[in-house]
Amino acid sequence: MSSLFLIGDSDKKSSKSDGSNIQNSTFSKLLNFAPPFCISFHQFEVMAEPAYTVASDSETTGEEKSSSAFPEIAIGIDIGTSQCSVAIWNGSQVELLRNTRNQKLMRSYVTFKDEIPSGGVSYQLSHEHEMLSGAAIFNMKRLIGRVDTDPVVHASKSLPFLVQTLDIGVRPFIAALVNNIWRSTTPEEVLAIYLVELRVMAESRLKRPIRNVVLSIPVSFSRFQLTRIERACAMAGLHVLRLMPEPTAVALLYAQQQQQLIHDNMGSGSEKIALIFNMGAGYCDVAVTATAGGVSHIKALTGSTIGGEDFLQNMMRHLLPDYDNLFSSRGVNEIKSMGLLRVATQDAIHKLSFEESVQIDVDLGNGSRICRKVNREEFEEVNQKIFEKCESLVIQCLLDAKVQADDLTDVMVVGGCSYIPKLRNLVKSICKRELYKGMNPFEAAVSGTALEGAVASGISDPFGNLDLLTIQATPLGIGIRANGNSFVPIIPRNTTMPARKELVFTTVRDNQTEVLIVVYEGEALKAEENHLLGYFKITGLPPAPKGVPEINVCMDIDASNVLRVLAGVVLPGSQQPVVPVMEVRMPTVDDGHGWCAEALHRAYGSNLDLVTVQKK
Amino acid sequence: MENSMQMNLNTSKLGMVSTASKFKSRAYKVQVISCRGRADGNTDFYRVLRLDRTENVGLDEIKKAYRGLVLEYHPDVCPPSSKDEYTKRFLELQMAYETLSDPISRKMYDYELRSGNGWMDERGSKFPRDVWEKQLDGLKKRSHARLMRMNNMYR
Repeated sequence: MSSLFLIGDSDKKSSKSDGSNIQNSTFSKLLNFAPPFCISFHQFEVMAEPAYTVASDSETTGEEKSSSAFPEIAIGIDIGTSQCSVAIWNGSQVELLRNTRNQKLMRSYVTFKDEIPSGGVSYQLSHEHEMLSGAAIFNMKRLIGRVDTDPVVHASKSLPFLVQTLDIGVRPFIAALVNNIWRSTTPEEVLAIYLVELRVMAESRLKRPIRNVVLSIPVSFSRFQLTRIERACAMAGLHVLRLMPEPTAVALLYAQQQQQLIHDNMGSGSEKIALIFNMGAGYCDVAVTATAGGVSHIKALTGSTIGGEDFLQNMMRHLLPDYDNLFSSRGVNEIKSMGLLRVATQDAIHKLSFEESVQIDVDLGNGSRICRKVNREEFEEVNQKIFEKCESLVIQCLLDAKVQADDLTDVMVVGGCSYIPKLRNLVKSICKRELYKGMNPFEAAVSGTALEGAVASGISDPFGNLDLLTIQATPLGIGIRANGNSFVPIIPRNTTMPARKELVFTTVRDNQTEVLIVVYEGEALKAEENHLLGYFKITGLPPAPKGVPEINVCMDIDASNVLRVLAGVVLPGSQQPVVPVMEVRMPTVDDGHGWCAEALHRAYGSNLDLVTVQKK
Repeated sequence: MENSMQMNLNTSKLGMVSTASKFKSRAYKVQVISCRGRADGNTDFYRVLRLDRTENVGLDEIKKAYRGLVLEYHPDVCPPSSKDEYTKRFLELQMAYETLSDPISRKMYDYELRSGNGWMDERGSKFPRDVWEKQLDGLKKRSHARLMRMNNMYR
């Protein structure tokens, strides 16, 4: 958590964290910020200088003291592409917090209007109306940490605000229409504004300052995207205790439920294997967990960027085949039409979960009007590819976990898409099971994060309800570029964490004095098709024929999910590493890293390459 | 050599299970074992799991033993001051569990134990593992200290 952030709190009013002034003055003041200034919620002493100061958060050491004798219980937050929720362990059970409008699930969007952005936690006006004006930014979870060559960013161009790409591997241009002027923003900023609202809401409910959070994240998020989530949290003054892949949060809730059922507090008792299928608006994730005695052992994770948003876009293009043409320009009218179509289609998809057919009647305001009946079969046909992808994720996850459908005890379908009949049926038929009924599909993930929040905060429960543990697995492989342009995983996917693995490489040229270690995360065979995490050089290798130096690359993921890459070089016969061991914490890349790999290749060619050592 | 044989067996087995999976049939060789928690190459995995080797231990017992020990040694449940030590133990435990819970690698391991070769790859003899691991340990301690310093501010 060594992120740097800018402190824009130049006001003389100190915002000491006593919780009293949080609701009013601090809140409005802190919301009132413009990019690129990110206001920290850190409770600093009064800053005399009006200038924006860059501070490392480690400088606050010792300034904060915990005011209560009880350990602070971290809250759990489920940041959804479409909806968010907050939950906490209240001493005896998980409780979802409600906003002032008594909602447990809040729409994920931020509206930029008159200088003061406001989000879906507190804002009164309907999301639907705001969406038509272009002032609302949403789907930030789909956009965060992605460069403008990413297909997900390209698909987001059809959202009723501005997403522009130059296709050069930098962050996309995202803007909201405020008084007919495009106001640029970033997914981190939008998320931070939203998180501030969630935090204020939780603080007013719990009547104490909130600092620690456990967030659920999609399985397919790269470590770079995780840093963006952490950055957004830091901007909102929140410290991330854990980032949990969504289905593993559900798995923890399941483990607790099983624990409550059988009063069994050691590893004995029957092991239950469960499959969790979690599909929301932006992502589809699957996990297989083996649970016994409160220990949830994640066997395998698979995930993809498909979700309700894809159903929606396919349907909109189905209803209006000329969609992309009509909306290639972004005037006020186009945005309004897009918004109207979006709302109507979303509504229709929702209804199709419960009815066989639905009547759509929407006037797009530009002279075209869509008035027709849509039935469920049509919806399923239009989205055939998505359903197939979902199927393959479930099958892949079972294979990775080395589990047969017959081994499964329970099967859960959760998330915003969980009521779509076709999805339920496909999971049921692959797993040969009826679906588990013991949890609310919209609240399962956030409940799991709240449990993890309590466990990670060191809270214990007299009835043993918190004697829980998740043994996590790596959702993506981590490795380096070697053997030409190949991706060589060092820590494979679905490795139990914490983990430490190493591989030996060697040089490709005689007298090669430097090697380039380029670290990637992902599953693709070609290095550059994976997520770049960082790179560093090992220099000062003594001249030796190619294939002689042993370059040991070790990867270490500790209990806090921090990834370190260590590299050392030895020559045969020598007793000492010939150059000091390098240790680099990853990721090291920043925004705009999309072109890095290509630029590295252009600059160095294969001069600093590595190959794996083949055992003789 | 034992290690690479074991890994090869593993990968080929996986390949059979999941012909549909394109991830499994990669060209590169997976040689993963050797970052073990302890420098001692002859760790008895049965002892790590606190099992009696003489008896014919079943998979259920191995799982049960593993889960019981996980609750003791997982870094999430240990006192914050000894996270490093527990992480090490957990890695060792994990290695023991992964080896013994897979029927094929367990057979290989049992065979090696009986023939008294120990469970150490050949490279260990010429590779200055102690030095390497000492350096790693030093680095780990420093990172840990740094982490503690950073964590302190959240207290």
